[in-house]
Amino acid sequence: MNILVTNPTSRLSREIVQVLTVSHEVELAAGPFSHEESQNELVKGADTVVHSLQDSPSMNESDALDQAMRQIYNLLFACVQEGVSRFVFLSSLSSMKEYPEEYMVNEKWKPLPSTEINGLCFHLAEFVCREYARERSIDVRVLRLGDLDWDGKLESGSVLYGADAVSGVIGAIECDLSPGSWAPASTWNVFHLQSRNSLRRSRFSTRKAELQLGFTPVSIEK
Amino acid sequence: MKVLILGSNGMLGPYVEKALQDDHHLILTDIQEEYEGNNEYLQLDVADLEGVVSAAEGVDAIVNLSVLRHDRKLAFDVNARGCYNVMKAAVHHGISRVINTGPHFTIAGPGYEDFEFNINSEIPSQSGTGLYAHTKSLGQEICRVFSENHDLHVITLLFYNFKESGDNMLSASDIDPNQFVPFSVTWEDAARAFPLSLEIPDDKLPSKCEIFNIFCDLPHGQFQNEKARRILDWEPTDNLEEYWKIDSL
Ligand SMILES: NC(=O)c1ccc[n+]([C@@H]2O[C@H](COP(=O)([O-])OP(=O)(O)OC[C@H]3O[C@@H](n4cnc5c(N)ncnc54)[C@H](O)[C@@H]3O)[C@@H](O)[C@H]2O)c1
Repeated sequence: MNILVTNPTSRLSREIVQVLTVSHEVELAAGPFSHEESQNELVKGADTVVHSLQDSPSMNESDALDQAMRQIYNLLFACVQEGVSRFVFLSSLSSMKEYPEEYMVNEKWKPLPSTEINGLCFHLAEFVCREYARERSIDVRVLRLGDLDWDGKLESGSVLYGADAVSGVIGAIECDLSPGSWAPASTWNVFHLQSRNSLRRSRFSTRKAELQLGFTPVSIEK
Repeated sequence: MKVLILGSNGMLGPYVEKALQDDHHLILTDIQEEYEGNNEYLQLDVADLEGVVSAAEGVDAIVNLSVLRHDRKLAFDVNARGCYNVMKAAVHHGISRVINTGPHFTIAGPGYEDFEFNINSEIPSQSGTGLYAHTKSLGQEICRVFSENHDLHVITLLFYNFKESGDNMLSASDIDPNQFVPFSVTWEDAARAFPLSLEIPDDKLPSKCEIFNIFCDLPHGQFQNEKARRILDWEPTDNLEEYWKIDSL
């Protein structure tokens, strides 16, 4: 498979690329993603694009919104024009955290974004992805990631260890989703990804990712 | 009320200005330098966050008429980020009423319009990916999220097609079916929805974010305007029947 991964400054992107290069052709590309023809050249020949938002402290809120709305629109526009079949967007569980902690929340629950800029940007980027998926011209998979933790030190009810994040993303890239019992496979799929922690109950159900992407979160004793 | 209007120099702006100016203190703004009128006017780019926040100081309500339809960069800047800037300004100054505007496909994109009837404004938005619709839809989503997280009300008025009453009528054979939609309203009737939206008390609004289809009464049944009548008390005075009744065509 030919795979384009965006956001080279993110550790997750780099780790994904490292794993993927064993069995795929992979390119790592930095934004900003414009709407010129060069955009089409970038995605030409790719089977799958894995996209995430760049998180930079120097970015002001207008730039962050531009990245989350216009640039992802441009990227998807180019993907559809060039026949890229799959788009994996790395989002966040932040918009699901408003629910009271005693509930186990899955992908069927409505996102409740706040106006905090990072969370809002994830929500708006998902909004753009969803309209492209609805038109059925590209298969979009949104992975709502828990709080990423690379060294096992984070205190969070929705921690996602680095290795789990990588394996979840690989699953989303490689898995062909089977049709449901009542309908063909949807071009819009959201998956919640978080790790297991034997001391804390998971707030977010990862059952869908386990069943459909083969996601097997590790359990770390803390 | 002191009311800040953004994008006031467009086609709808002067009608809204006329409908509001007798009862409200207006501050009109637009990206254009020139303004021909007697109200206070300021050149303002809705995509400039600081500019919008600063212009909104001391006002009681904001009306957003700004729109940019074709350029991909500017459409996002004006239609989507512009709404973010409006909402940030409202939160910053404690402004509790915002009137947003847009086309019907802000929520009812081709997935509804090409297939459905009885389309009201309570439906979950499905703009599709068309630039104008999608950027306006993102703007509306930003307004909705702000209204759910802050102490303010947003009223969104959706239009599709404006007509001059009786004037400039085309002969039936010249009519473009894509433009000849029954979701139409006269400019004057459209403008009459603005004072109603500014003045309706919070407790008469079912939620902090309400969307209304504004168009005249015709028996087509594709879209519904009942909510505007029931909640805003808006009534069309001209049903544009001369455009549709065979005897007058
Ligand atoms: N005219 C129609 O047929 C129609 C149909 C459906 C909905 N609408 C909606 O009605 C509202 C008013 O539309 P209109 O017909 O007056 O549009 P218009 O294009 O005539 O006017 C838009 C105004 O926005 C201004 N503008 C553009 N960029 C700006 C920026 N960066 N900062 C500030 N102002 C900027 C323009 O200068 C212009 O004066 C819009 O929300 C539009 O989507 C219009």
